[in-house]
Amino acid sequence: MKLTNWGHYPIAECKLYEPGDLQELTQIGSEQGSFISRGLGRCYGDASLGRAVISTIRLDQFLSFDAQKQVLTCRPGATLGDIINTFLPRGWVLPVIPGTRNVTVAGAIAADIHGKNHRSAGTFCDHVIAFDLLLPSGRQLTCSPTKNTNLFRATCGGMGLTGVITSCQVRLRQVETSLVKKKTYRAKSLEETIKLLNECEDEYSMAWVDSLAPEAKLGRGVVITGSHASKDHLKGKLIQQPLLNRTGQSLTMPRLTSFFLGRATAKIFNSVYYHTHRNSSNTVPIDGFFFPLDRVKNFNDLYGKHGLIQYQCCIPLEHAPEALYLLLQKIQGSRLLSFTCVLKRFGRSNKNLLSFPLEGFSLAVDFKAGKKTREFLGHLDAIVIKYGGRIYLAKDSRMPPSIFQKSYHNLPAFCRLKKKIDPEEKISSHLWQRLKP
Amino acid sequence: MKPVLILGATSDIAKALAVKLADQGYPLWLAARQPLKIKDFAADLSTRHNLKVEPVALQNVKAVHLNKLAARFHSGLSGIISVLGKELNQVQAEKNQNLRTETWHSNFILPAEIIETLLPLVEPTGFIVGISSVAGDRGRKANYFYGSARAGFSAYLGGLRHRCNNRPYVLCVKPGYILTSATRGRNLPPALTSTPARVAKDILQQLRKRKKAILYTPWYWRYIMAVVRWLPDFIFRRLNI
Repeated sequence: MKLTNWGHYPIAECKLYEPGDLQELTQIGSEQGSFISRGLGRCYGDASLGRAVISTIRLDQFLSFDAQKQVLTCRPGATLGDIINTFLPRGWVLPVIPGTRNVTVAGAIAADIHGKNHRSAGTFCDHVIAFDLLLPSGRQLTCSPTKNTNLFRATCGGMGLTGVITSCQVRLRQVETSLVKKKTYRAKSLEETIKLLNECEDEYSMAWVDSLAPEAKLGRGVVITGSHASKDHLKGKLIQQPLLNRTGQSLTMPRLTSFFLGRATAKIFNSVYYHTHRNSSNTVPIDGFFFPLDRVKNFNDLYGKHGLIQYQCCIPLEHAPEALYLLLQKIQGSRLLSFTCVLKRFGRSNKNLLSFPLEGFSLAVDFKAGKKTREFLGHLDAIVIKYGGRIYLAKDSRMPPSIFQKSYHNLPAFCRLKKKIDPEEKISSHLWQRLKP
Repeated sequence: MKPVLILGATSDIAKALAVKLADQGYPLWLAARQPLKIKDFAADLSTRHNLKVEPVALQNVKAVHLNKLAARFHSGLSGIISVLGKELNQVQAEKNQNLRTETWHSNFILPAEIIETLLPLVEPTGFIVGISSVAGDRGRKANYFYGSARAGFSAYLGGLRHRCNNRPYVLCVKPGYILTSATRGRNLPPALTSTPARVAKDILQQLRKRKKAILYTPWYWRYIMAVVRWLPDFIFRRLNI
């Protein structure tokens, strides 16, 4: 059947299997010549696409929760949204929360996802105690930072290429309320945006940047920061139910025709968004703070039927302001359509071999998919490489292998391990076929 | 709340019931012949709802074994729901005595014997639900081994209801065609086929209201079977059903 991920590009012909239990999963895996596992398909490119795709979404059970040790044990297909819905009323959240609730735990490990608090909390895998990995040989190993460490470091961020995770243990974190104290700042320039992110005292922060602003106002944007609200911060009705999981209404976007998908529309949208956000602070539910885009059920349809390409790169701290300016300048001058552009401050990188974050800044931009976009992105690659940065595999659909090899310095170690545990390359995705050396 | 015992917990209908009951806060005993198959399912419900949800092994009906089972539930039950049994292939069963015996056993004897043994453990304000089938309403050539077993089970539940006089509440459930893993591959008429979730919803609604002695699910099967039962023999014997 035709499968595609969140960007609707590329679309691949795959044989999809949805095993209902581990026995079925092992059986299917052993019968395939080559396969890749898949969660909810929220990556943007070709990561969980392959000749045969084994979906873990039916393996979504929670197995146990130890409140003393603060550890949840679950199957690979359990979703982050499910975890939050179940445990938030009991006063627990995930230490790292991405921009959507619709991600499986194994997917979160495979991409070593980050949230808005990378500086303080690191990546998702920094809070994974251990997982059981089913290797291509059929052998199952438990991996943790202290056991089968190399395999752990290769699987975290390894895009599913080392094996299939069959169960995982994730640390949860206690919160007093289901609300976030949110602050909004309007930044008039890139310099101001960067300064606000650097000096942010709140745990969570991110900036929406107007990528279509004229050059004089390049990098202007809205910086949003927040921290979990404690009970003392609640007023009025909220105090009565401090841990209620407040979720809002969601809407479905119409798929915009090319008539509406012009730069003019986008420029107007960006301008309105920028001007309607003023410096303010308020208390908002977790759902609204972390998952604003989940409310719009199909925002990925906004770019029309050909889909979108998201370009997310990170630049090390030292030359980040310079690099970001050049990137934004290029994007602004490209005349390509882009609605969202998000800037985040990252903290120190971890030891996971293919993990994306570097201490510095991350820039994520959406573009309408197309040949012109793909050609243009090569210019951005050049800037990223020049300043020692790299591109996020979970969002990538077009990075050339040379860029991948130049930017991920642990790639040789990863390849050696992969060769060792998977000599016949039984586990392979279209992403790997495109990028492998 | 005292736990509810679900017999035949690997079935789709049982799982749908378990989910709804856990949602209402009932701890659960999930009894099945292959408890390993529902280990993850039980762990999931238990973790999600912070309740005790445990798989229990169910073997053949022997007094010794049933007494062991009774000992396990000695602190009492809120209710028992039997989802045991399934329709086996009529054509094959006509040639195979073991298959016939298995059909009669798993659809009538086993659930009846378990319910009868564990009856004293069910609290008077509780319930006993037996999932029978519309097939028991009249024997027909397409499935009369299964139908006769279910007819027996329905009569058993009727007698039990008479004896218990609402302490506990006894309900006989007669589903029509349901789309489950047990009926996968069969050509069921889509207009008349329901889902495990719908069956579970109807049962739980009746457990709240406690008005009916026999629950047909979906509701229209009551009228379909009334017609089927009414048909005089000289018409019925000419029908190819």
